[in-house]
Amino acid sequence: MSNVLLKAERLEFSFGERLVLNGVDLTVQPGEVVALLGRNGAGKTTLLKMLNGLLTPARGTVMLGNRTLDELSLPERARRSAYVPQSITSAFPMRVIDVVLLGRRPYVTWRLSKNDIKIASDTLATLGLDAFAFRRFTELSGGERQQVVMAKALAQEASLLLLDEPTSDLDLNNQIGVMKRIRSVVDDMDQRAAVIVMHDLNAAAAYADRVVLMHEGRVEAVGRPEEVLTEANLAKVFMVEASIDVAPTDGRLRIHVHDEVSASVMHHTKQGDER
Amino acid sequence: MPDVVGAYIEGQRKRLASLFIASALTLVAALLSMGFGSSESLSMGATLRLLFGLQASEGLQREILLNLRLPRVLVALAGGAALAMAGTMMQGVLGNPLVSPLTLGVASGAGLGAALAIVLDISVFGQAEFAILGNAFLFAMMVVAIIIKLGDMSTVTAESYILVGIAITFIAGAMVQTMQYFATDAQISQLTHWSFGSLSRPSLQHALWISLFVVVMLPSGLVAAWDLNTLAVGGDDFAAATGVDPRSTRRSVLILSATLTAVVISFTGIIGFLGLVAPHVSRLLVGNDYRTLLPFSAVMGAAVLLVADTIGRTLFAPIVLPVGVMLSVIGGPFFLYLLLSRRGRA
Repeated sequence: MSNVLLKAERLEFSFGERLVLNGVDLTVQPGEVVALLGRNGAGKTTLLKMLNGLLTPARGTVMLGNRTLDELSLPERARRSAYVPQSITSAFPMRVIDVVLLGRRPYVTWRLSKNDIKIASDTLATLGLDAFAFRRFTELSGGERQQVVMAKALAQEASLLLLDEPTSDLDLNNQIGVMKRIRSVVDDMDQRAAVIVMHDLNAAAAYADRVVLMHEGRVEAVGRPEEVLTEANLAKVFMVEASIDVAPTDGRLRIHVHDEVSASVMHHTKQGDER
Repeated sequence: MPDVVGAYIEGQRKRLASLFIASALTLVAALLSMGFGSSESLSMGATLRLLFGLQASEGLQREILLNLRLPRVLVALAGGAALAMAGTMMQGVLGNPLVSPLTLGVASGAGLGAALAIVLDISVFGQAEFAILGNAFLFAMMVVAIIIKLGDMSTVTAESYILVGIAITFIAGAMVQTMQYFATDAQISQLTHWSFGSLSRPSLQHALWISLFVVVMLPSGLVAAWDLNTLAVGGDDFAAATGVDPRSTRRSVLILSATLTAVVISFTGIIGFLGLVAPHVSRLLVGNDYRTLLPFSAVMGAAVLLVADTIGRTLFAPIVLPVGVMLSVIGGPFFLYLLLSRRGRA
């Protein structure tokens, strides 16, 4: 068990009366892409924020490597894990390069070295954003901004990437591009892993090594996509009727969603805003 | 592939150069300003020689220079720098471009303190001026204490600070109005004069103290430049995920800004527009990276306050127009021009 990037145990959290997380365990190994799936309000974003220390669990512990989050200072956490929120709005028109350079904040006190600037520039290039370097962050589209924040996260050189719906604002082509890049960032660099909150089941099946299916604050199922994304699980968690097969061309799992599960069972679910 | 590294370094060099040029121009303007006044004008050389006692003083010249113009110019430079920097920092930690040093209610607190001293006719060591100054500072610092207390609360957000500031402004305003209702005409006139904002009140000794205070405090703002960047770009979660503690950064930066504001405003009266305009003009000119933005807006604030005051005291000399009024008259249209022409780069 020495080679574990992240280990969260028995996490509990509530917003007021509402129990958002109820005993969640999660372990992430280097080289893994883990998809967090579930309905709105299932606790995915809450869990992601907790893994990064943005929220403190009422019970349970999060360990990054061999240290608990409490033992790590904020800059130490930021050197180990990087978080990309779902959307980001900014009141001040910073340049894209300046935003990406913030990823070097955990490493510098005041002065940036040439190496820091090079890392930021290389990250922009990796994500195909170099033409944007001197454009204003505020003038980009939502999807582009999210990409820039991802570049900033990569510039943090953290081993664990925590991404909240990184493709939610992107067109189809860019969705595939981003998922591939996340995959290659994890595959190409030693000791890296990503935990991604997502809604696209087919993308999860295609790019994730493991899927964590969350339901009402608990982990309903966890494992390889073909183990977790079953018709029964999808009916229970998402309240949809789906059929699942394997594509003859590339052997990928294909999820076809047909309809919602009939209304008689719907009254069991509680809907709430995802926090 | 574009050379991002080279272009970035080149851009930084240009900003540093513009910072130096702006500082040099401001110093020259300060020397020139000391040469102007209702009495005979002095050349820059003569001003320098008189200041350093290298030239035998003819009559009142040195007296006027040292006791009237020098304190004024010092307060303009130090006060302008302090208010502009306070505004720039507060906008960053509150994530709001509409924020100015007046937002937290510090100036309203000072106004209430001054009003109390005037209406109750308090004097300290037989001097009413002292009482007004001291009471204004006391009440401004009470607002700073409220800000500190607020920062200790676990649920405080950027909005809470702004809302509390607005509440304090209303409460203090209502109390001042109540006092005005019962005050004599002379007191009302004195109070109105106080609220105009003026650089003529501080003595040379006061001016030196203000300058020393500002010079000592400004570096602690600069140290926070990176943290200000992360908060200004993405707010609390973004900052925390970047290794910056948003709450403690906000708390310490606001205390610093409020204290700077309190010190300056107690001596000068209310100077409002500067702390909003200087940050924005600087943003348009050098961009939003606080590492260059902060020093640049300090220089910009010093320059704008100096120029506004110099015009105010020379335009209709010997009548001196209040600098607060001059700021709005000159700064307002200039600000609009910059915004509308979008001349800003970077």
